Amino acid sequence: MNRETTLRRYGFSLLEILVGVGLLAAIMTPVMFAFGAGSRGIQMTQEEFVAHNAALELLEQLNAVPFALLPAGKFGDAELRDSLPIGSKCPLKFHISQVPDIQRGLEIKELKQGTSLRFKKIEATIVLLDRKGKPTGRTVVLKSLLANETQ
Amino acid sequence: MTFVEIIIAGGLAVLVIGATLYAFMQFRRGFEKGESSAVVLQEGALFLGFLRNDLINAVIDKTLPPDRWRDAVMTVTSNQVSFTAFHDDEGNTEKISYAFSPALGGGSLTRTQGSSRTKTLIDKGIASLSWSLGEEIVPGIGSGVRRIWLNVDLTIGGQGKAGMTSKIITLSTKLFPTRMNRQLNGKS
Repeated sequence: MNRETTLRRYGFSLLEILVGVGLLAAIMTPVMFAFGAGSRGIQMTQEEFVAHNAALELLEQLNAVPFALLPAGKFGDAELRDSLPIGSKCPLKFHISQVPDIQRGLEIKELKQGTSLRFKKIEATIVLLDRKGKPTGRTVVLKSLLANETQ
Repeated sequence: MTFVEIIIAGGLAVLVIGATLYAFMQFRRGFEKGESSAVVLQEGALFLGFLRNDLINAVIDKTLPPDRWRDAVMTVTSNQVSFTAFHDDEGNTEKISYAFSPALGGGSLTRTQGSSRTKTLIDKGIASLSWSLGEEIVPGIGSGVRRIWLNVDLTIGGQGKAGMTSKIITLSTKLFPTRMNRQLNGKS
């Protein structure tokens, strides 16, 4: 009788083991989530790098257009496609790489000093989309100023 | 302790240790994938950063006659892109080359400035790389309005360094050398 009691005192019951495993799982879960956050961070960095490149591609090609030919106005994603004209009075075309899960936007403003046109301000906006094509709330905006060197 | 109790305890121990080991291995694999993905992303960013900056400083090679303006702008082959760029305050230029060495385990990419300085930008991490020179000529003043650009399609990761499998990252972009385009349209 005494021997049985002693053995039971030093052993673990199934319930105790299950509670122990449960506690271990509860501790490990946040660790796993922390790791998942790191992976998502790398994914977000990659997406923003791609979006940043798309914005630079848009800005650089407009900087390579002669000042007089660059039209002012707003351009939506549907107008910012490869081989579409930059504007009705501009003979040059957009040259745009296919990049999934982004939406492009562009605004060109004329900046005058008195009556003379001095600069054109180019603002490229890239909105990151999720897999369903909805905006994620993350946006990359790059701006550039093109000077009128004929004046 | 009865034999049945020992079997149950052993079974539970195997289950717990097995699950822990499995979780640890998954964790380690995921961590390595994340780490190598960050490395290839960094290498890709470094390459495009260098190339973009070099193209900003790129100038037309004035030693070639005007009718060979395409050769004066840039030489693009399947494995190499080369052009001249400003390299000092006195306006001296030197040749800059980007060379791609494809390999089964992952290709590498180097940048050479001048005749000696070579730097590896992507080490055995390129799954595929293609580049080509794009040009657009429309009627206008003089010889018309011209724009040139470099198309770059790069896939990095997914293979490469032994035991390191990263995410596949695809980058497609067009780089417009601003100064060269200005020169082509009559501005220095």
